[in-house]
Amino acid sequence: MRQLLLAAIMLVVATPAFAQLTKLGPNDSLNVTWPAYVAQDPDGLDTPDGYRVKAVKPTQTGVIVQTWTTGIVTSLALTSAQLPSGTFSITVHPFNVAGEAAASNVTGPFGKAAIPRVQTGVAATKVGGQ
Amino acid sequence: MSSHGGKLVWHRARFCLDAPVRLLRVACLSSLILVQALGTPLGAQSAPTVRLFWDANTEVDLAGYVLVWGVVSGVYLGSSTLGPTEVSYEAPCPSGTTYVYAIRAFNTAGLHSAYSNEVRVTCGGLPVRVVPRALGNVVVVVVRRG
Repeated sequence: MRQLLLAAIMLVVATPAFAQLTKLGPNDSLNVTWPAYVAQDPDGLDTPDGYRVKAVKPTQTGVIVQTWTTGIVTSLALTSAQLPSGTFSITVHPFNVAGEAAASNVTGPFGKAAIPRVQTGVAATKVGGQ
Repeated sequence: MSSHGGKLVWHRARFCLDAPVRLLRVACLSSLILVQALGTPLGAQSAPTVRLFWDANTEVDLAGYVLVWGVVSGVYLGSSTLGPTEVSYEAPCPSGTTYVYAIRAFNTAGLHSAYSNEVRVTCGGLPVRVVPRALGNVVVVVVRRG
């Protein structure tokens, strides 16, 4: 019984806590900000040429929905029209000619409402009358 | 620059264009030479080079420049004759060697100036850009309107 309880506690601890989906309306926008890159290479050879902000599938690791490329800035404002429909998370990747950094911390998930599909199965039944 | 693993290094140089046949006038220009060490371009197999820059001489009878290079100071193994409008040149810089470069001007009378001071470049171990590390603290704020 004690072992069963311990196993149950371990299962709860090991289960990742998924962040709640933030729904976005047609007038909502996202403001993505990140800290300025501080070079670690003594000659600054790791200095980025820019940043790639990516919308990625929150449940499918590495699946990119959309990418925006910026110069040396520390923020990117994305209007609703620029955002993809469906659910996505945001990551930021500094890059230079040598390559692209691994993903930053993942923010989200966000969900942009899509237009509902056409309703089917509509029926009308005459009620009463002649 | 963006397609090369390059690094910029500044060297101060002094060019003198001697014109002894014209009233022994000696024109000296203080110049900067920019040495840009270039790695092998991505996807190419060309040899490493350095790009050297200099401030142009202003003599009206300037006919061009001779850029020279070698492995020992004052002993030059190669040269390139350049036109009077040139202000830079991409010279060979084989990996694993230290090359010295110098330049001198010549005029329409065929007279050459003294060599500039030498610029020394270590061609081996050219700097290569490093992939940036991953960021943290990315924040996304939802801005709601209406």
